[in-house]
Amino acid sequence: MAKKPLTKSGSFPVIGQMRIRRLLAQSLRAGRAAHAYLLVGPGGVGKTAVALEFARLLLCSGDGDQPCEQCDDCRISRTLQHPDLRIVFPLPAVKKSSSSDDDDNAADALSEEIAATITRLTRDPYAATEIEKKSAVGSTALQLIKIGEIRSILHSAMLKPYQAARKVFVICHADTMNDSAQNAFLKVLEEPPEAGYFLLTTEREQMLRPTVRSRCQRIPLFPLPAEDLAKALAESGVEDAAANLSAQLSGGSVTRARELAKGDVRALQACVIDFLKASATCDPFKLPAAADALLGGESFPQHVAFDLLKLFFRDLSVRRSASAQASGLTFGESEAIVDGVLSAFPDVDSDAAARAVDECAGHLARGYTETFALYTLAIRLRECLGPRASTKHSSTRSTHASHA
Amino acid sequence: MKFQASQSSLFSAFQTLATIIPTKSPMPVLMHFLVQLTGKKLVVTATDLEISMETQLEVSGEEDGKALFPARKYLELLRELPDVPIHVEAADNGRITLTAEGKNYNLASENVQNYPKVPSLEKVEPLRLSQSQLRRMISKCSFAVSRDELRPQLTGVYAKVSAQELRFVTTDGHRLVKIGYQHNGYKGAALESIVPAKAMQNAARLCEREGDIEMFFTDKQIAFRVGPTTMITKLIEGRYPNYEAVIPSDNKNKLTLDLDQFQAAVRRAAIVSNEISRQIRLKISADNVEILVEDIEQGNEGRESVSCSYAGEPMDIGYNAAYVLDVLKQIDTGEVVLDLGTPTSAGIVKPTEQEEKEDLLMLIMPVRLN
Repeated sequence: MAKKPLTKSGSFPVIGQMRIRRLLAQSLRAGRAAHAYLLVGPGGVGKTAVALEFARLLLCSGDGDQPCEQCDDCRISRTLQHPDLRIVFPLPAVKKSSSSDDDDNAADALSEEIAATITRLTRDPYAATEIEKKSAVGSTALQLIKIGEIRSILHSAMLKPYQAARKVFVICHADTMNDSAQNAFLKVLEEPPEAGYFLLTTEREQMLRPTVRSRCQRIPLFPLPAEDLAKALAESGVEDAAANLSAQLSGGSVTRARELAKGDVRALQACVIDFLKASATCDPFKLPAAADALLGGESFPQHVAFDLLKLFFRDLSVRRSASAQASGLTFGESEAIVDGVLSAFPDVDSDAAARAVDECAGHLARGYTETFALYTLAIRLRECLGPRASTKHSSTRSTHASHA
Repeated sequence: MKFQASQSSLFSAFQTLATIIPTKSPMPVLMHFLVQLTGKKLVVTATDLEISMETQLEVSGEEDGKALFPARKYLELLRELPDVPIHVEAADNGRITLTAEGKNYNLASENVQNYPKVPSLEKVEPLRLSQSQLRRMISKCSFAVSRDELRPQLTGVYAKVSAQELRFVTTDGHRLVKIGYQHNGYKGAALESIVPAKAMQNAARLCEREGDIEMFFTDKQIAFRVGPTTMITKLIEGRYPNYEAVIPSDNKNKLTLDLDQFQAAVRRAAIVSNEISRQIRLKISADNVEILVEDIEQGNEGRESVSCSYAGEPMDIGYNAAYVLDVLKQIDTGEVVLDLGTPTSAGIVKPTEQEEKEDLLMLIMPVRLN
């Protein structure tokens, strides 16, 4: 289980995205900060984390590129309880009571859950901002930012800040604003109050109206480099090899990397190797067990096993190309295995193998049985490996495989 | 922090602030009272971030300090305790202990460091005026506050303080009220601010007794202090529209009417007027105002005359009856004066005689007659 690394302020640190963080800080210090930013990027890359960090910087009374952590504003904003900071995220619809005639009551009814989510964000800016559905009594599954919430923002926005020089509104998953909410929000984007700053985050930019998008400065956040992620995971107490592998498999997402690191990703890697071995030999006695092990584990979704398989074939390609020395291999400490396979099957077609893995995932998505899909995959992989080299090579391969 | 005080004094002090505490809030600290003890002075604060209230009481203090008291639980406990001396102690770990004649209760609380900073008024010069005067000024201008959140500045009361005068202005684009009061004894800086209408209503509620109220003006807040209780409110951001520009200075047609007669006639006409436009038509001649009303959709109509004294051109002018009634309600003299320009320009409504040191002016826009 990952032990979270803590910054001086006691929270999980913001990872990477240095260019964006510098850009935001510099624009603020140069007096050119926009009133509305739209932070765009895939899930888990740190949109909320960057937005919250910038929000704290906007509230800080110091003039550095980072919150000074010394002033009163920094002290309070550390707990995200600053009176001039408002964090908004989608809420499940709450069943209206008979006396209630509007939808403003969702925030009130869920205030405890909202407070809990904000506390989670204090410790970990990568924490999920969705309210757990089971905790919302009488709630429906759809989570939205409704017009009631936006009206309340408009009201707060028109007032002067409470104690800081600015007031900041962080709107997570801004794309979940429904039409009327977006229309109402447009007003404040068109004529932002002097001291008001709006930081919107979204994974689905296209769901926002063009009128809203065009009034925000777009800040794209890209997937994090695996090295940064691996380092952060290792610092949080994850074993190096597992940290590397989780970082590689995460697609640049902190959230996914941490989920992977929580489970035993190394054990899954061993299952993948077993499956490859069984595929290479097409051993009818070993294949069923290896296939079961590959998808049988409950700690990971299916796609992780397939991602690992593809990662292996990617490594084969990298290793075979002359330029890639030993570096750039991602399948854990896989040099020996990769070399072994390359020497045993010099004609291996790793592109076709990766395509076969994708096809298998497609088969499962279309409802094929796991046994059928995986056996087909094993046969396809065997074809992709090509003819076995001489016995000498073969013995080398088996030595490496057993080593793994 | 340790102190002792009677149940009744504690309960009445804390209950004054209970209305401010939000029942539910994503910021748990706001559901607490901030309690600070210095010597014998206990200062209790509550805020919903828009309005903050503070009250002071004297207790027998034992150890200075500050702590957060969970508002609902603490107040309910106080209510249920008998009127005996209560010993209150706040430990460093944030736990609040109430002890009274063998009853001992322990309450969990939040970290006092997370409470928003309470604005300090120590260095601000107050403006003193009588509670009745402030209540009167607020009641005279409140009706014209706009409810349109799309023009946030108009949803507040424009307050301007200078060495000579305190002035409130409200407008919703159809009518405008300007009320000034010549005070004496304000040494602070001249300031303009826009106070949220809700805060002004709360301030009027503070002015229930005789005696003075102190007003404190700062860049971000305005505060009202009556006795030991202070209410501090955030201001609306932005610039108030240039209201002076819309007040006509050359309205030469002067119409004077008996207030009761005119008010009664407009009320009757309003009943028959169109429910949406509420339009009435005034045909003004030298000694008579004819009030005409017609609702074509419903087929209703009416007319009546009110005697007047009028110096100016005969005029045919339309008004929204509801707006006219709102304005007339604010007149305290037996007669009302309307300074009119043209049938399409703003008219000024004033009492025939101003209260001492007061200057009340109301402006009402006519509607175009069809």
